[in-house]
Amino acid sequence: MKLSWKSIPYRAARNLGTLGLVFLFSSTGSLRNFNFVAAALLGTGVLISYAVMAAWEYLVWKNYSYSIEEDKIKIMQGVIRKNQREIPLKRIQNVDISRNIVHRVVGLSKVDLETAGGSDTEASLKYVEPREGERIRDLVKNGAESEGDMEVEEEESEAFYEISDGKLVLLSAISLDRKTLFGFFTVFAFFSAGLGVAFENLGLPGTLILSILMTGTVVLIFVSNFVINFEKYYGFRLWKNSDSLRYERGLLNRKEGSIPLDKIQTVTLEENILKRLTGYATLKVETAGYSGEKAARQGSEAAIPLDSRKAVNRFAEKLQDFETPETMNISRRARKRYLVRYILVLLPLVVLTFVPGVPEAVTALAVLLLLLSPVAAHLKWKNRGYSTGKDHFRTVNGFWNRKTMMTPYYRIQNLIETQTVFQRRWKLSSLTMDVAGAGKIMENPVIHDVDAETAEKLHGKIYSSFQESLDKESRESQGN
Amino acid sequence: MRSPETRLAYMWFAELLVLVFGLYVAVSVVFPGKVYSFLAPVALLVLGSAYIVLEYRAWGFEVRDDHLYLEYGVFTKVKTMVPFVRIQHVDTQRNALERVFGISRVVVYTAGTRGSDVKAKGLLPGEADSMQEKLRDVAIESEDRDAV
Repeated sequence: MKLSWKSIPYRAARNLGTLGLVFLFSSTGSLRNFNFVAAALLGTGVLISYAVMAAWEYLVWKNYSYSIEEDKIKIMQGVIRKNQREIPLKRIQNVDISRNIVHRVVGLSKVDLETAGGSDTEASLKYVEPREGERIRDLVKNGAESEGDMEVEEEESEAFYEISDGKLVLLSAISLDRKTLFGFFTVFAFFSAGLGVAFENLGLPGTLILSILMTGTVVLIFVSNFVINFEKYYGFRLWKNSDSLRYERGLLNRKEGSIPLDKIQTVTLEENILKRLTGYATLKVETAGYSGEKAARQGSEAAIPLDSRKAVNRFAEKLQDFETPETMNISRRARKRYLVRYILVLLPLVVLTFVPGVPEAVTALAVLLLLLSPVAAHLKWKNRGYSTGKDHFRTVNGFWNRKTMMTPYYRIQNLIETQTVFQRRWKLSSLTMDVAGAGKIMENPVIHDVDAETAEKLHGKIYSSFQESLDKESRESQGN
Repeated sequence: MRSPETRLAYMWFAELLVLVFGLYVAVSVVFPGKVYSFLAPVALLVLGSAYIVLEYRAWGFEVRDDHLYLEYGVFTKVKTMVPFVRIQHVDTQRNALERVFGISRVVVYTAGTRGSDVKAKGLLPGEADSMQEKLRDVAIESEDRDAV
């Protein structure tokens, strides 16, 4: 099969656009003596470069072909250096189709195929006709041989979740990226003192300007965050087939994807503090496909962007049959450990603020933080936990953004028990369940700070649950 | 539990000596003729040696019935279990220094992220090869699975 012929002019135009931007930046100085001759020259130049680009893209197109065979997809490409790649269909973790606004106008789709491992997308078809994109997705999902049965498959799919306008607005408002805000405040705190003085020296009301600047920036962050989330989750819909999840989302950048159910590694319930206060939650699923760079860039896909906690829990149970044993707290000694840690950090800070010249407000703030540290330690402790069920285990972590991860034992790659020097004093250990696809930024499920003996026991218990799940899985696959 | 060959500790010690010498040269260039220019490299030697002993004693590995077990770490103690069915591939590696000291290491890769860090260090080359072979065999046995 060939890519769509429309990809030739589109890709050429896109390359030209990139080039044009570079040109524009490098030549803004010469704009002053712009006249008709220059415009004509520029126009001819643009036309010629476009022709060259298009010729090159034609060669790329001519040399690019793909075919979906019985159990693999084969891609041949390369103008100068030939490259042939085969991907077994059953190794493909997920298929993503994305269409930005230009794609939608001219009728093109980008299809990304992800497998486990590798730091980047395994195969990216740029670009195919939308219909062809859907065909590829369905072929990959069902295996190439069952092409005839596809119609039946479509009818079975049930709409699982659809975002309402109200929830979209709410979601856009409250899924604020904490890191952006913290980063901003840190930078601001760092520069504000110096800036204030600078403004005062110029005879301007420094404090006033600073507070206006700060409010303005905060509002700007909120608004841009709102717009980004709104764009991303506009028209979010999720279907569940017998064997896969399919989602669709986006206003300008329409994205479609399908995630085979049996490729799901972990299901994560996310409730940041705003969501907890309002009783909402987000559900995310992670496959082994998004690893490395891509995961770091876009994070795992949300299965349910926002719904009430109860509804999200129900979805999660439907998704993977979770039995829900009660969550256990981590060791009580951990709470003391956090308290000691906070005090050790804050006490020197408080002492430092008594240096002459430091405003009293800063001292008061530091003392307040110190006084709050028991509360902080308690909250940190309270929001950590774990439970081990029959087929799944669950880990809970985080106060600001509490993540409850549910993972089948079957998904464990590697069981790691660690004890730092600081933990040794308190006879505490942590247990990390290494799971495929948790890129460097994504977290593995971790049970933090449990009693060292308990950790040892859990280590053994989880490992034997893992072995049992393996036996069960191989019995099931033989039964098929 | 199998400990690494003592040669591994000797190798680390050789690396430490190079570092100590480097520090001595650096200090005696920056602070020529000062007594404490001696103290820094000596301290490094003493602390480094102690660390090597601890680090060496912390290392251990064992090929068990259905998993590979590893223990290591001085400041952070780590115990890892790698199920055979999760092994993607197995390497033996020898860098230049390891070749001089006649040791080898086995590196095990899984689909997990930290999994790429699973190493058994300080094996004799023959032993490393047979360990690699054994792990490869058990990994092939379970190849029909997806391993993720």
